[in-house]
Amino acid sequence: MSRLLDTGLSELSNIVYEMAELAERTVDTSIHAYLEGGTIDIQIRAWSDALRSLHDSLEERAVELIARYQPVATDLRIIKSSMKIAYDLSRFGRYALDISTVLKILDVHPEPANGTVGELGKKTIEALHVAIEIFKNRSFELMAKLTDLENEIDELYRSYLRNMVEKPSKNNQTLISNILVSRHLERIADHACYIAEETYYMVHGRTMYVR
Amino acid sequence: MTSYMIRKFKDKLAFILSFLCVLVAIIPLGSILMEVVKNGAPALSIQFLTSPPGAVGEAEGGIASSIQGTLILIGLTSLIGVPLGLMSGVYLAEFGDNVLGRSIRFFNDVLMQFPSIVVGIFVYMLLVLALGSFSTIAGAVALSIIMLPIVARTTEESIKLVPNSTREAAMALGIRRWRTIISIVLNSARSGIVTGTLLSIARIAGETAPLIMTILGSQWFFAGLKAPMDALPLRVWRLALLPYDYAHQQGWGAALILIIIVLTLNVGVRFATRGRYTGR
Amino acid sequence: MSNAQSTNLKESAEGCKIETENLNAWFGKSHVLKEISLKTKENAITAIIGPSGCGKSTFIRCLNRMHELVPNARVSGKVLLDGKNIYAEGVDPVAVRRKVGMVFQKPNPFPTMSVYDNVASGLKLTGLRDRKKLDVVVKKSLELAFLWDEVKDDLDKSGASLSGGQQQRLCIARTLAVEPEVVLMDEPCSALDPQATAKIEQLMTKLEKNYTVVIVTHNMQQAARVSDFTAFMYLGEVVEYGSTRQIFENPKNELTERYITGKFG
Repeated sequence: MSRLLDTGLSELSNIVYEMAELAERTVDTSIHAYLEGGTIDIQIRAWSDALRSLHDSLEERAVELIARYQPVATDLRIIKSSMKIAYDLSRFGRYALDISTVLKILDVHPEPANGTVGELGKKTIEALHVAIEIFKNRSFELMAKLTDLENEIDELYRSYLRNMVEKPSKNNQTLISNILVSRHLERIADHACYIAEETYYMVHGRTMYVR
Repeated sequence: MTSYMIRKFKDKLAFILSFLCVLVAIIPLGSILMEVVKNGAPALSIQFLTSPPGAVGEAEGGIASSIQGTLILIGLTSLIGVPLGLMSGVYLAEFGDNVLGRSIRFFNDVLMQFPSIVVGIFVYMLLVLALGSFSTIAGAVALSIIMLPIVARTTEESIKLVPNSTREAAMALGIRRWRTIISIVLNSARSGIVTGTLLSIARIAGETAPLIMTILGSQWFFAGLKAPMDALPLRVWRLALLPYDYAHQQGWGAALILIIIVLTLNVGVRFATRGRYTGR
Repeated sequence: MSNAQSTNLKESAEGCKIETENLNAWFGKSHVLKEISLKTKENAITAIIGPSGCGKSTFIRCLNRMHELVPNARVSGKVLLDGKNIYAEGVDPVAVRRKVGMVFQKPNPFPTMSVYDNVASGLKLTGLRDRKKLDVVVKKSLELAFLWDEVKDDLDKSGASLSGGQQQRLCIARTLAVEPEVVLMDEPCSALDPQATAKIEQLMTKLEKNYTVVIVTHNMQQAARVSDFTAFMYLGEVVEYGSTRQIFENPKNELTERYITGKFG
């Protein structure tokens, strides 16, 4: 039996799926551009703005559903989690934008792909894919893999920072831009974990921490 | 004519017809009242109201003893009939949803339809022959037999009209069943019960046939429960049968007094038992 | 067909005011309550929700021995008030009803009585005649029921002349006047408009400080708003029972979930 609320819920779900695809693409593109070169900042900006406006419209719709239908139980969790996941996805757009901005401002050469930052970039993209996979298909068996990835990313990030303190790179611009970008990458991985955790809560009503 | 005008006309027609029916129903009542007042008023005088009947043929004399007799009868009958009828009504309404209750209700209805002359004969056999004389008490018993089923029925119906939610509210407060019935249910049913009782009084006040067989009538005032007594309906009947004009006029007067007594009783009791809130 | 109880309730058996043990009830041959074992916490509001015909009204009527007033009604099992079985041999049902009061769905003030007399009726009709004591109790009860300010100038006016919401508060005052320990409410707001309902819900949350309240409601949002614990009944059984927060955010039973999200039927 279809309820009045169901139309609203499927609208929310559609927006979140759209955002997920867009966010994946945005982050992918900006990391690859950093590692391989390319002027994509205008494109990234457009995508980031789109993500923001999708997030705004999702929030509006969610609040309307709450006001009108007093949702409870699963419905309530779906709405709450959708709002949170949408926020995390919009953050991806922001970080991707930041990464592409660093490229533009500091005008550096792209990093070698086998460097630490390159490694960080690859792992972050993988973490993002896993998280979106968990979200789209509720594949909770992948949560452990995400935990491992997150730990590796954390470890890489910290060890990179320590290395830079001990043996700073000769080129200031490269140094600064790498530090900024690695920070963004680490944050992207964090938000990917939030998405997976929130998806778990939405379905099971309990929290399971990835981080 | 437009259909609106036709409908309006039909509406008015129906209204007028029903109004006319009401008039037709009231006309007999109205004309009786008018006749009684017209013919009876001239007979009224202090002497008429305070002296007992004179010898047959004499124009003096009054109906004082009859008035007294009727009032005594109403009082005695109510004393017997109202409590019994009330209790039966309460039993039937509150506890009567079973085979015993249904049988009692059936017999009650049968008794209500009994010809009053038969009741009179029955009491005649029972009390008059047994005691050896016509008596006031026999009259009261006969009239209470007529009164009882009416009071029982109307009490039962009035109590049944009290919604169950009222009873439940009282029980839920921890009020006992009998207290609920007396203080809450009967109170709520009060106006219906009073109406029923007054109706039954009006009925028995005018019964003549059983009185013939039980109190016989007399020329004198009340002479004890075991002695014959006079009453207004009897007096009216006797006076009507006499071939004298004065007698007929006295008869009309007696009838008028009877009607006045019943009316006064009605108004008086209603006034005395009015609650401030008769409920919805 | 077991009764699911939330673990936190099992642990708090000490705070339990009225509890049922294997309670069954019949109307003639019809078995309307099946092995209900439920503990309600003292000084808290417990709501019973469920679709029509699930037995929730019958259930609370068993808590104050009103169920047996219906012809052909029967009960088995125990109902423990402060640990003592109210259905035990020799227990006076009238005494039980003084401790466990009830407010009904349709406001039912006594029609021939004034506001004052209505509130005092529970006491007057069981023997209390002292006018001063009655005055005190009547005022206190009307204040508790949030009705005092509206009627204090004319306590002699007919109980039936009040508005629907006021009448219901009058009935609540009447129930409180006999100082019960538990107050049962059978859909108390279903005949009232939203403002009157809001007033009564406010009243309920104040009452729970000193009384144990059990309310039956078919309005789930009301149960969500006012109650601390909620029991979901279906076809005469308790399907799930737990804290209101848990039931409405994360019900354990799928049937509960379907009912509260409106996917029933």
